[in-house]
Amino acid sequence: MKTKDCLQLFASFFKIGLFTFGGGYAMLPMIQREITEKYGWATEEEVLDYYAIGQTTPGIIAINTATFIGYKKAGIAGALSATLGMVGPSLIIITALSSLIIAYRDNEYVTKALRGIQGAVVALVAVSIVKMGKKAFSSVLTYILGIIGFALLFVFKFPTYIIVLGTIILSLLFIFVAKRRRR
Amino acid sequence: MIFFQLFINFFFIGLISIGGGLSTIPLMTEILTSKGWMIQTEIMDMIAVSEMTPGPIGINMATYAGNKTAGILGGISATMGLVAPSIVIIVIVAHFYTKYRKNDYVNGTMKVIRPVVTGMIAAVCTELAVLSLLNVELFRETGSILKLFSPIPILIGVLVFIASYKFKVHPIILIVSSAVIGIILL
Repeated sequence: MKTKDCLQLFASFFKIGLFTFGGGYAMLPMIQREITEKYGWATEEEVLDYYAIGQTTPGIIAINTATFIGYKKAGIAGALSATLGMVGPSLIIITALSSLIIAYRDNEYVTKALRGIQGAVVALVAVSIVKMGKKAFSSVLTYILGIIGFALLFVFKFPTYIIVLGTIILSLLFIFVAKRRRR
Repeated sequence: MIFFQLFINFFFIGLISIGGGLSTIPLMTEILTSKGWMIQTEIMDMIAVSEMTPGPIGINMATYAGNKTAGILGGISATMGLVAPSIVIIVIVAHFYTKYRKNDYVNGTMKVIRPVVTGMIAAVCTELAVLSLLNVELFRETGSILKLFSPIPILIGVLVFIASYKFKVHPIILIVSSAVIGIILL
C-alpha cells in the first residue's frame, strides 16, 4: 500500500504544482481540494495547521506544506514523493523556457521583450512586498524593523545571512529575557 | 564540482530563507552575483519567468538559476538543494508539531523576522528598480536629470503595479503584454 500512497502523493502534488501560480496562499485551495476532499489524507484544519507551520520553518512554504502532508501520510518516502511531485512541473517547464531564453538572449526582439518585462518584474515584486507588508507591519516597532532590514542590506551592504541569523538570535534572546522578567 | 556547489549554495538559501514567497530573493541575488553565476539583468529574467510559470516561485528561480549556470543537471542540483533543508526540518518538526505551533519563541521570532525580511526584499527591489527604470550612465554623461529616467520601463512598471494590485490581473498576462510593449516601443 505504501508504494501506492507514494505514487498518489507524487501525482497529487505534481498536479498542484502544475496548476497553481506563485505558491503560498494561491496553493491552499488546490491543496485542500486534492488532499482533503479527494483523498481525505488530512482534514481542512490539519492542512491549515501544516501550512501555518510551513510559514515559520525555513524554506519554501509550498514545499514545507507538501513535505508535511506526505510525511504524515507515508513517512519519509511520502515526504520525498510529495516534494518531488511538487517540484516536477517547475523542473520541466523552467528548464525548457530558460534554455530558450538563454539561447536567444542576444536576439534583438528577445532583448527588447526582456527589457520591457524588467519594469513589470519590479512592479510585481513591489506588489508582493505591499502584500507581505500588510501582514508584517502591524505596529510602529515592526515598521522600524522593516526600515532596519532595508538599510542593513541597501545602505550598509550586510550579508543577507548575517541579517537573518542576527535577527533570529536577538529575537530569541529578547523573548527569553521578557519571559524571565514576567516570572 | 559545479553541481555540488549549486546544491550546497541552494541548500544554504533554503535554510536561511524564512517567510516564503520572495524571501529567497535577497540571499539568492547575493550568491548568484557574488559567484559570478548571473548578473542582475539575468536575475530579472529569472524572476519574470518564475512569476509567469506555474509552481512555487522559489523553486522556479532555483531551477532557472541552476539551469543557467550548469544546464539541466545544474537546475536539478539547485532545486534539490533548496528543498533538502525543508524535508529534514519538517520531518523533525512533524513529531512535536502541536508544541511547535504554540511555542512562544517560534511565534515571537516570526513577528520580528517578517518585517525585517520584507525590508530586505524591498532593498533588492529598489536595486532592480534603479537598474531597470533609471539610466544612471546616460545621466552621468549628459548631466540632464530628464535623461535619468527611462520613460517606457517606468510606464510599464506603473501600469503593471496598478493592474496587479488593484485589478488582480494574472502575472502571465502582465508579463506577456510588457514583452509586447517592449518589442514595439523600445
